[in-house]
Formats: sequence, structure tokens, C-alpha cells
Amino acid sequence: MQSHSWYRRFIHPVFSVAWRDIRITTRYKSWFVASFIWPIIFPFSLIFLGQGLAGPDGEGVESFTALAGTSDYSSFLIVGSLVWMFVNINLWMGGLSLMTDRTRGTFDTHWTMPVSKLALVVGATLASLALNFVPMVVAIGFYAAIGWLEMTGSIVQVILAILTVVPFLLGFLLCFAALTVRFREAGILVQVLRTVFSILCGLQFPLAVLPPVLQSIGAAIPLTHFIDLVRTIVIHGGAVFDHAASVAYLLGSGIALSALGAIAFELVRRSVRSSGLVTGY
Amino acid sequence: MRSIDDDGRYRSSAAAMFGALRAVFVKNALEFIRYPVNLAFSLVLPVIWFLPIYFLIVSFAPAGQSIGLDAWVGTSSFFEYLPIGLIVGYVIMTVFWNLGFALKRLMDIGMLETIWACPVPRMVYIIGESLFSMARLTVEVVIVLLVYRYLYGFTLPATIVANLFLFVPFLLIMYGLGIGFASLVLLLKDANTLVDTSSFLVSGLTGTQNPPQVFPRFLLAISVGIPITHVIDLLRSRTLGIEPLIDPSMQMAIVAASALLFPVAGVIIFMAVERRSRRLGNLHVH
Repeated sequence: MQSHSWYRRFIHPVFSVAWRDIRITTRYKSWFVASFIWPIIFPFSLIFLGQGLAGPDGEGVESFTALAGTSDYSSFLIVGSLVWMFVNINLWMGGLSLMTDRTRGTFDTHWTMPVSKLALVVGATLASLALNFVPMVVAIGFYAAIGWLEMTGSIVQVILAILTVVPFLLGFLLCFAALTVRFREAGILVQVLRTVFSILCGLQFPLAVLPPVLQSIGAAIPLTHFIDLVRTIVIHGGAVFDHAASVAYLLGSGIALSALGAIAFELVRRSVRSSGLVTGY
Repeated sequence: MRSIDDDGRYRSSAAAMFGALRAVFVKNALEFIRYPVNLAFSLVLPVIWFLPIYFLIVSFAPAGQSIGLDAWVGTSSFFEYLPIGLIVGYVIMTVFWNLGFALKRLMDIGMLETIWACPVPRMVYIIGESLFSMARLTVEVVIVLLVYRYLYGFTLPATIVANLFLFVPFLLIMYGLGIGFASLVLLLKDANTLVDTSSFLVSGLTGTQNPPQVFPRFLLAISVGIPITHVIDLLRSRTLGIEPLIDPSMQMAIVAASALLFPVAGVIIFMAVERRSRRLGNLHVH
């Protein structure tokens, strides 16, 4: 009886919310552009900036090679751009899902349903991950096919590597959703966070270019381990579990953050209910 | 265009038009200063957003001197080369988001039909929408360039002053593009992706962050076909003394012709689409 109730209050709503978000998103034709064209065109600006700095025959790539540990700046930047985009879209779709509900005017209705409120965020995150996973793989395939991405590792290992970051993303988005329930407007926070991640995790440049203090902070963020893992597999090959320490750190911190996120979300839920902050903008 | 003033007298068309432009300008200014956080972030975000690009540049060119750039265009000073493209990129982004997106914003806040019913020519309204953003852009660009200079070490060559006249045809081209683009919003409704993608593509393909010479042949052909590429190239070649993409007199002719053609084409397209929307009665549909 207990498990049935758990299914009805959490699992079923998670999939319902995910399916709802997938249907709403794919209803607009612009979704195709956003999901399949953007991952392909987005890395262009960084690749061409890199080419402008590297020169026609790689004359200016020496400093970059010393910092990044590879002269293949194109693969380095493509992987970084795609990961940045993956995180960014998940922040907008998953982290801001409750704020989007407010804008649509459906937040109050959903909030009063007899289901776990956590399911609203987990479902939106699931939809976001599902909608963005395939385009990322398509983009990697595209760049590998045109020869701009030197794909040494296998795509299966890349997919496995992407799965290791899911607990961290889920935990982070739960914390983030808790903030949006409490403070309502969080669009600016997304803008700031995505740039902070980009800088401290070295998504679009080699982390070694940062001052040592910032490098140390970056090394503590699971996303830094994730981008290193994906870059290593793509550029140098090998398997995910060759990097056991990084995988353990990603999964461990991800599970801990997910638990923390769920607790934070529940505390905020109680707080906004008792202080009457559920409705209104 | 005629309107009635507070005393019941008809005002001349020019006075009425300027009155409408002023009203839209004031409305947008009031909206902007009402949200102080937005005001602060409009200055802080461009500085923060640029940090990843800055770190990528210094990872290739530690002191802003790039051997690679020298091999492409004949100057190694990336810290002088980039700001010109950045300014053009800012204008492109502003025009797309504020001129093209203005109608979408009105749709979202439920004001489009009300504004459309006002006795003001739609074109005057559209241009009015862009005036405040252009004034804001000018102030922001000056502040951001000063911050970039003292924080990152980027400098604009002094010779840019003598070449500021190139911004006149550039703005005319951008206004034409933006007005035409606003009509697309009436047609396609969901303008967010449209604006984002178009602004990104135009900025990217015109070489705002890199020399167009780095593009593969097919992209270079598209790039050379966009007049904004020639505006940036003229500014760069005239201020930094680098090799232009094609003959500068030919570039001048392309820019001048486009400055005449784009606004006219933009207005014609907008008026045709707007008439169609009124005939079909789909202004209110999201």
C-alpha cells in the first residue's frame, strides 16, 4: 500500500509532468531550431575566435597548448561549448520550471494538486534532460563527421560520462527551484550562474589560465570534473571508469547534493505555505 | 499624420510624429528605471559575460599580442582588433532584441492590440521603440568600453574617431533589418528563438569576434554578401591599417547602396505583413 502511494504521489506525477513539458515544448516549431540547430551553430563563434587567434597554420597555438594540454583547440572548445549549453538549457527548463508555471498562470493549480511538489521539479528536469540529450549527441556526431572534432573516444563512453553528471544536475536544479519558489524572479540568477560556471569550471577556456585561487575553487565544483572527463574521453580516448576518482566524486557529490536539494525544497515549501507566499509574483 | 492637442486644435504632422516618438521614448525610459536591478545588471552583465571570452583570448595571446592574428590580417594587437567588432556586435544585438522583439514584448504583456489601435502610424511606433534602446546602448557601450580598457586592457585605436561616420550607414542598414524583422514576429509569433538565432548568426557571420578570413569558403561567401561585414572590415582596415577583405571603394559602394536599400525594403515588408495581419485578424494570436 505504501509503495502504491509512493508511486501515485511521486513517480506517476514525475512522468506526467515530464510528458506535459515535452508535449508543450515540441508543439512549437522553434523547438527544432533551438534543439538541433543551436547545438550545431553555438560552438561556431568560439571555434572561429580560436582559429583567428591560432592562425592559418597554428602559429599562435603554443600558449594554449601549454595551458590546455592539447593543441586540438577546436575539439576542446566544441566539447566545452556543448557542455555549457547543456547546463544552461537545463537551468532554464528544469531550474526555472516553477517560475515558468507562474508566468503561464498554472502554478497555483499545480501546487494544490495532491502530489509531491518535488515531482513538479523532478519531472521538468527529466523532460529537460530528455529533450536536450539527443541534440547534444547529434551535435557531437555532426562535428565529428565534418572533422572539426577529433573523436578519439567512443560515443558510448561519452554517453556514460554524461550520465555521471545527472545526479549533480538534479540536486543543483532542486536547490535552484527552491530559490525560485521563495524569490519568484530568478532569471538574472541563471544569467549570473551560467557565467560563473563557465569561468570557474573552465568550460570555454583552459582552467590553468585562471589565478590559482580561482582554480582551487573550480576544482571543487563537480562540473569541472565532468568537463575534464568528457574532454579526456573525446580528445584522448579511454573509458569512463579509467577515471574512477572523478566518477566517484561526481556521483558522490551529486547524490549528496540531490538529498540536500530535496531537503531545501521541502523546507522552502513549508516556509512559503506558512508565510502565504505561494501565490502572486 | 494629424492629431488633436489638449486644447482641441490640430497639430501639424511633424509635431504629432515627434510627440508620438517622445511618448514612446519616455514610456520605455520609465519602464527601464522602474527596475533598478535591471539597470545595474545591464552594466554588470556585459562585463561578466565577456570574462570567458577574455580568458580564452589570453590563453592564446597572453599579453593581447597574437601571432595567429598577425598571420591572418597583418596586425598582432588583438586587444585593439576586438573592440571594433564588439561595438558592432552590441548594435546588432540591440537592434534585433529591441526593434525586432518590441512587438513580441507587447504581445506578451497584452498591449499589442491597444497600441495598434492608437492613432499613430505603426512605423513611427516601431522607430520610437528603438530610440530609447539606442540611447541606452550608446551610454552602455561607452561605459563598457571604459571598463574593458581598465579591467582587461582593450583599447580602441584613436583613429576610430575619424571613421565614426561609418556608423551612419551601418545604423540605417540595421534599422532596415530590424523593421523587416519586426514583421516576421507578426507572422511567426514565437520570436524568442528567432531573434536569438538571427542575432547570433548575423554577429557570427560578419566576423564581430574574428577575422572573416578564418571562415571556410562557403561561409566566407555568405559573410561577404552581408553589408555589415564590410562596415566592420572598413572600420578595421581604416583604423588598424590591416588588409581589407576586398577593394575598400567597392566596400564603400556596397555599404552606401545597402544603407539606401535596407530601410526601404524593411518598411515595405513591414507594411505588407502588417496589412496582412490586420486583414486576417491574427494580431491577438500568440
